[in-house]
Amino acid sequence: MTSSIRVKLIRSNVLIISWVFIIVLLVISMVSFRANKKNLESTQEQIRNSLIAKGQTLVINNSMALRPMAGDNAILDVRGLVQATVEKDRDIVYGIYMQGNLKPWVIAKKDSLNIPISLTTALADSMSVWASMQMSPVFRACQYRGEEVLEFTSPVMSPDDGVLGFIRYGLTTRAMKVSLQDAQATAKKSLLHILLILAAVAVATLFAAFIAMHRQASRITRPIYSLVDSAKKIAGGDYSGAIQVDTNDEIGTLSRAFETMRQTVKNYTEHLQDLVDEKMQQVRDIMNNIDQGLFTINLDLGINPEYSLRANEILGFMDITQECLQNILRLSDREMESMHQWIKLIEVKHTTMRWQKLAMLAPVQEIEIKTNQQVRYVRINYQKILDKAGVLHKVMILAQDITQSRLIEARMEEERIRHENEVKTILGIVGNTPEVISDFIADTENRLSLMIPQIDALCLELEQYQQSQVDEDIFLQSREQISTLFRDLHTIKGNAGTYGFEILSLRAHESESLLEKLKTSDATQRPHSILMLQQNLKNMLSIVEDIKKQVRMLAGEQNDLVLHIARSRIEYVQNLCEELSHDNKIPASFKKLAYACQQINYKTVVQSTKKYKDLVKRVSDNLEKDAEFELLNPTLEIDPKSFEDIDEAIVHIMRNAIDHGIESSQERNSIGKGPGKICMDYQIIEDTRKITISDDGKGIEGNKLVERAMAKGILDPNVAALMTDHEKCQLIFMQGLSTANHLSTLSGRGLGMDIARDVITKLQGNITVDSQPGKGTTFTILVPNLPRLAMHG
Amino acid sequence: MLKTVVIVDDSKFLIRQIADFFREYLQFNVVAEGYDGEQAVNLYRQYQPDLITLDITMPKKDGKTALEEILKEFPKARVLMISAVKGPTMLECMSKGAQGFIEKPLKLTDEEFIKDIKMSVIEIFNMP
Repeated sequence: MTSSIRVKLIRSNVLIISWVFIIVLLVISMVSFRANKKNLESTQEQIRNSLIAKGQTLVINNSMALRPMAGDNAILDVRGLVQATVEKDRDIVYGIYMQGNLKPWVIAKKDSLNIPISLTTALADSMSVWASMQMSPVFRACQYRGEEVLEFTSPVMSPDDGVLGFIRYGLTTRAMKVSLQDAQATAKKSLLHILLILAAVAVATLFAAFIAMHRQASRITRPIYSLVDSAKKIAGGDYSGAIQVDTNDEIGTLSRAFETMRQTVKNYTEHLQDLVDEKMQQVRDIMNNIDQGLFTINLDLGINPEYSLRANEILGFMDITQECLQNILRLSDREMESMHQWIKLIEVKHTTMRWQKLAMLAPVQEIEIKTNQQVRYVRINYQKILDKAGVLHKVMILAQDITQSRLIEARMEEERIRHENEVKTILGIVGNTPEVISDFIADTENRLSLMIPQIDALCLELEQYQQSQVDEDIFLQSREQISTLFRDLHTIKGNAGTYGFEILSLRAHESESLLEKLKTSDATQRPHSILMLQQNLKNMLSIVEDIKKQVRMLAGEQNDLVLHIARSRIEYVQNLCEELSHDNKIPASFKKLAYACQQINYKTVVQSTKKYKDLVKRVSDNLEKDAEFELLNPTLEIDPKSFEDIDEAIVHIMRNAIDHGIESSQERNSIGKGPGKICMDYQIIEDTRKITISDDGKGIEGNKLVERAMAKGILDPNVAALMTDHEKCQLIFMQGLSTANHLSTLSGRGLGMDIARDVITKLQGNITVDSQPGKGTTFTILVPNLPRLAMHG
Repeated sequence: MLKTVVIVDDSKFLIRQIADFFREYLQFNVVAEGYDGEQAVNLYRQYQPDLITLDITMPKKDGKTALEEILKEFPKARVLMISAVKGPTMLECMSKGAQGFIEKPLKLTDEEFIKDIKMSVIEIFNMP
């Protein structure tokens, strides 16, 4: 179809040229035919005239020549002359001499010269009669043997003008006709020739014309085709391509008009797209919500009777039309007020502002619906409904249950945290020695397993207490217990933080806060808090379980083997040796062996305190401080259990020293102190272990502690007035006297020192602190040495 | 003649961002900048711009009060609230006569957000 214009153009042009040629050929043939005919006619005339002239001359000459012969009755001479004449001239078909009485003397014919004719019988045919009546030479056409013959006759006169006889000759027109035919044939031939040449020219011209036309047609039609292509695109809905035809003929004009039209249509369709999108969004909202909650409200917030059944289900009512909007959307009084305000606003603004923006201002976008143990989330969308005059008269409310997607989001977030935690856990495990991690796990598990039953018991107690409806606060009685729980949590929090188990540390921190709430907040919050606490502790236990799994995964079973089997066996052997050493009967060498066995697992102080070295590094990194760990007698060999019972105290003291003692790097640099130092010394003096931990930080401001203690009402101002600086420093061991301005996951609740003192006191030991403001703080711990004889021996 | 705008926000950084946006995307002439509600009222009185943008949480006088005072004195003032405050306060401002609102944070690299600001300004100037 696309080629039809070109083909049509070529076809019609070729047709025109063909017709012109046919007409030219016809005209040429006709003209030449006519010319030929005329030519032939005049030729015929000429030949006839010359034949007539010849015949007449012949009969006149003969009549003259015959006169004497006829007068002398010389028949034979006459006969001879006539016969010779007939014979001589091929045009003459016969010759007759007859007397005036029509009696012939001679009848000579071309083909029968010798045939005698009766000379006595007068000729009676019409020609002879006609001839006998002529008095001068004449001629007349007649038929002789089927062909046209001109008979010339002339009387032969006597000298006295009497008629002696008539000489007659018949001249045939055959030769004339033959030459005429020849002329005709020649003329035909030349006409044919011309026609052939013309035909050839015609074919050549047509061919050339076709090629020229083809080119021309292509050139003319190319812009048309590109226009057609553009039109097709536009018909297909694509208005993007600009039409580029740069000819300045009609097609160019058409193209420009077309381009203008395209742009107009494009602009229109784009705008249309926006409109359609907007409408579609509305329709989609409706369609999406047919299956979901849909109802409409009037501008006075009354519920209209039309609504989708799903609305009841989603919003949790038997029939929402029986409810008021405030109940349906769970609006507070204030939100209800806002709703009225919003309706007033949209009434005015809906014509000039985008609905999407106005909808954002609606007082409720999402509601949480709590049914027994289940929480559902419902998103609320709004659509305006206009009446025919374009005035807002209703608002459609679409309620969509998005609990599923919320749950999925929550699960994904959980998953993300879990994954992050896993990575952190692995980093914590990898960053510490297996022994340290193992100790940490055992310690944490132990503490948690002691805490959980206590909390469970508290929970039960609380229930009973509530049932009995006694107004007395049981938590006043269980304060001591709560303090212990608090300490355990604090230790777990600190340890977990130190080893990089952030989630565990965070949970411990949350649990601390919950415990605090239990102590302080009003009674109505308690059941919730304690349930949360229960949950949190279980959560922590499972986190520890996870850490254990990770440890096993990373270290394999080998870790457990070394710790449990080797240690107990060694202890068993050591106990045997211990008993043996008391037996006086055995030789001294055996005693030596027993003594060596007892010390078989002794380690240097460097080895035994690696944990504290790591702790200093980790805590200072965490706090972005610069602190180094130093040992005074690193090579002393000691029982690896030397620090086990006082570990908690040491950890708290060290953490406290870095957090509160050591200044920030900037501060230290500005006062020329250089990197901080945490210095540790371990000595055994008789039956006592003496451990000192000192830092070169800012020291303890005794007066600040006094102020706090007085503010808290745990120190009598009169007593305070008499206190020495050393005594003032000892206040640091009192509960809740943290001087830190912030709470961190490491310390800050003012518990660490309290715990440290507690641990030491329980071991029948003693802890003191000395401090020089600006120079540093030294803690000195004195605890009994490890029992010589293992308890379970 | 370029339209004039006064921009009020307690963050200098945000003022610069908003001002740049008004200059570059909306071809406004930023005639003044203010950092609190008191300045907002004074600057409006001084310049009587085609538009004023107000933050809500501001020192001395909050955006809502400034809005009320400006509208009391100049009932035809065009005010665009730009604030992180959502919910009822923004609704109140709109009810009191602010003609448009933009919620912070300003996501000035987000095309949708840019379109929203443009549309809001267009709406304000199309209002009867």
